[in-house]
Amino acid sequence: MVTLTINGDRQSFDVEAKMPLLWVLRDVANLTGTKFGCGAGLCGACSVLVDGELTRSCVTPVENVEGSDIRTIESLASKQHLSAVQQAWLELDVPQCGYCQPGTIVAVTALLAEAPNPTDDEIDAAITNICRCGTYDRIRKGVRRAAEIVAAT
Amino acid sequence: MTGLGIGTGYLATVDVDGTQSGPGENDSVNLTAWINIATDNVITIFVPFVEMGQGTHTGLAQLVAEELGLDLSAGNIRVTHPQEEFAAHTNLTMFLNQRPEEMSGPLSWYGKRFLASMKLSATGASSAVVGNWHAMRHAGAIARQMLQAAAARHLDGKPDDLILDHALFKRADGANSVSFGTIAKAAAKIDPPTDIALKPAAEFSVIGKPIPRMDAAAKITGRGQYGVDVRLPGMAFATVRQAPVFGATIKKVEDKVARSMRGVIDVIIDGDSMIVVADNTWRAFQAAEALEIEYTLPEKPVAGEDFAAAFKARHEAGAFTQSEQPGDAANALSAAAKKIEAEYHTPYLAHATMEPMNSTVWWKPDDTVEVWAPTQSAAMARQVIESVGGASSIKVHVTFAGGGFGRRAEKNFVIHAAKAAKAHKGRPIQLTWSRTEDMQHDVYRPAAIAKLKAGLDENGQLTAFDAVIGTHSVMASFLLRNMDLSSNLTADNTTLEGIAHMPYQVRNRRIAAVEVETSVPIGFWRSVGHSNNAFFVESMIDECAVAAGKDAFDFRLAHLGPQQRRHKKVLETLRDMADWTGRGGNGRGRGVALHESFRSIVGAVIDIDVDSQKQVTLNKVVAVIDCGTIINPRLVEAQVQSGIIFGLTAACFGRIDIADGMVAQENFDSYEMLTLARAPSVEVHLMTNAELPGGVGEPGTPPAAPALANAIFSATGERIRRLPISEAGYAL
Ligand code: FES
Ligand code: FES
Repeated sequence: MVTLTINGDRQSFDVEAKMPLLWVLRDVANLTGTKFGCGAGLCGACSVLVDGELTRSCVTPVENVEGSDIRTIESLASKQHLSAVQQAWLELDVPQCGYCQPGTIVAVTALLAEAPNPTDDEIDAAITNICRCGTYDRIRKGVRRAAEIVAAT
Repeated sequence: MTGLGIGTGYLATVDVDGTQSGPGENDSVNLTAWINIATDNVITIFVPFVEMGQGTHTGLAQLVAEELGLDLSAGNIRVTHPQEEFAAHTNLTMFLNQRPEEMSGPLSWYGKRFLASMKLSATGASSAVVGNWHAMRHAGAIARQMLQAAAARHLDGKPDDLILDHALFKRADGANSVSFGTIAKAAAKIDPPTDIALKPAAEFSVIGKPIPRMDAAAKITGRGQYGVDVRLPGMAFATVRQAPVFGATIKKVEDKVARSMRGVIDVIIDGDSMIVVADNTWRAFQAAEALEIEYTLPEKPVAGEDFAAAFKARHEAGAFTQSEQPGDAANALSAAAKKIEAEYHTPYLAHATMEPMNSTVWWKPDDTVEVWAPTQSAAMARQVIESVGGASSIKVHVTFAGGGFGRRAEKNFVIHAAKAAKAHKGRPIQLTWSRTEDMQHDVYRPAAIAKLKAGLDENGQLTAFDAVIGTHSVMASFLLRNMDLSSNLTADNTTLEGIAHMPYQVRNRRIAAVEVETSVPIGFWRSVGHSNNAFFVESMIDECAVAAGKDAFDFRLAHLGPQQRRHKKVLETLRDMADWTGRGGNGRGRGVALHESFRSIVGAVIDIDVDSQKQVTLNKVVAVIDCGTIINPRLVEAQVQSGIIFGLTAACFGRIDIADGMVAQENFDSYEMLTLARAPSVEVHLMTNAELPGGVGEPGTPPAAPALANAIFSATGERIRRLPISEAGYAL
């Protein structure tokens, strides 16, 4: 049994301690917003926040995150409002196929929490997610726009 | 149903335009095949193409909305892939390579109806807008007229006195209004009008506008449902391990350990594949790895060198499979003032869609079967179930696809789920490939070799162009694998696309193909033959410009004739937009390429830096596209950016190596991708004109690689004749 706090919800799962968080989220907790891309920590599609820290859930055994505050893409928007990053993504129509975007949005959320007005170099260093559709131009603009939205609120 | 058995009488009854109306689900009404109206005034537009990033669920919805007077941003509009497989009339352009507008005469009449009667729905060839530019506007207009007539009756007014205001008709005197939802049933009983006047372009208020993507909100919140996100009651999760060596078969399997692992439900041997069914995907992955499998290897496993060797032999034997030869290239070459000769090579490439291959099949105890798949062809998914046998009915749900690029036009990501589901009737089974499986069992962009010769006269004008393209036929591999059809029915048009009929005017040409057979599975990869041929043509043209001592733009412009007025405009615009000042040098490089594909023309200039260690920085790309009438500038911009990054990724890193019959690459560490830090900015300019619309999903890809190779030449003086550029030691 592993007890996890996912998006504020404490739940117990009858899974192996070594099972990657990604698969507990997707196949056991049915939170499918977090995506499987590579399973090897290489693409960032599975990114979540663990105690505010950007984490690739496909290479994170659940035993490592027991007792932590796990946040997935599903928790970024409140009932009424999209998060600043999501708003920026919508305004600029960043997604194409969209499959990488939950992970990217989570990564940008983590970046802006650290650096509210990131430089290009900071953006380059922080956002290492693979987007096969090549939405990078709009991702970069999206980060800037999200920073503006945060600053204005 | 066999094609030849279909009589003209029957064909006359086939609905080729999708104009028939009828009842929909839950008391709703279908007005034409494309538009559904529910009693609560929710309007659903059916787009019979998979949304895989290209924006088709927005672009095609705009065509309907333009004529039906809908505001797509209002909350009551939905866009979905229909559950019905639309007849192939929606795919005319893909199958017949013609615009519906260009089709006339008895052959077209027959072809159109024949295709419409066989349901072969598919998404590809950047053809959705091209093929449905007329049909979807027409559907919107028909529905509007029917609704308007019904509204007039309901409001007791004249149709012409009504004002259309997003899903409502109002009386001009303001007395009353009625929603589409209220009158849809009455409208469906009205005969569809036959003479429809579509809005002239000057009155467009939806077409040509940067309408936000209809799928964006679902995709940024995690709600969007891709194939891997389907969740059904009691669902099991599976994976597959296919023989790693092409052509190998399973000799012996030791599955005791796997079967005893936690959560494992079943291990199924299916031909050269092992299917593991478990209660979650991770456990299925773990158990699949625990299988000990002995294979019988093919006598001579395919090797990387095989292709080049086979090409050489066939070429020397003069075994050309296709050719076009206007003029006399051989003579013109020997008479040329200057002769340029070069040999170019491109590698096999994988698609590496972000969402790995997967599908979900629910084979119920009564043998009704439902499939959920991120597929470019619902028809293929249906045929897979038919081939397994025993289904009493088949329903295919097409989900969002996390990238497609041609990979999802295949059957092989549905078959294993289907077999597992049939073995476990009543239990939905979702089968997901690991990334390694996805990489090693792709259908690959064929490798190619180009032997090129060009002749210049003393004025630096091309007098001869001679090209022999050695590659594998995509069609032959696709048809054999997916449709059990032997290939030599017709020549594969994709082999020479983009090099036959190149825009540059050269009187004496020979363009010939040597299509080599292989056991490597070959498939459609974004822009298909153009992905190779644009690299060959645009690199060679650059070599010729250098040999002629001419500027890269000037040389190209000097070889475009009056027929290529649109190409010319693209180049001239590009030269301005990119502030082209000529060649680089000393590590600063700029390269240009121009290519027409899928009825659109794209020109691109890339600006790079190369240091003395051959470290490359991609600074910026400026691209110009002429895709005729623009449906949505934001979508076009996104597709050109996407296509260019896709092409650059391949040019920088892409290579699939085959050794001892298997693919060496496994994941994104060995099959690298451009990421944000290394990707250039891509500025896109859109030409505006009133031409019929062209495709936009693919045309950005072909010019990317040659523009980069030409930029490297301009920076370093080294000509890239083999992709990826890492072959010559360039790194990013
Ligand atoms: S799926 Fe976790 S990094 Fe790719
Ligand atoms: S939007 Fe498709 S992978 Fe990023």
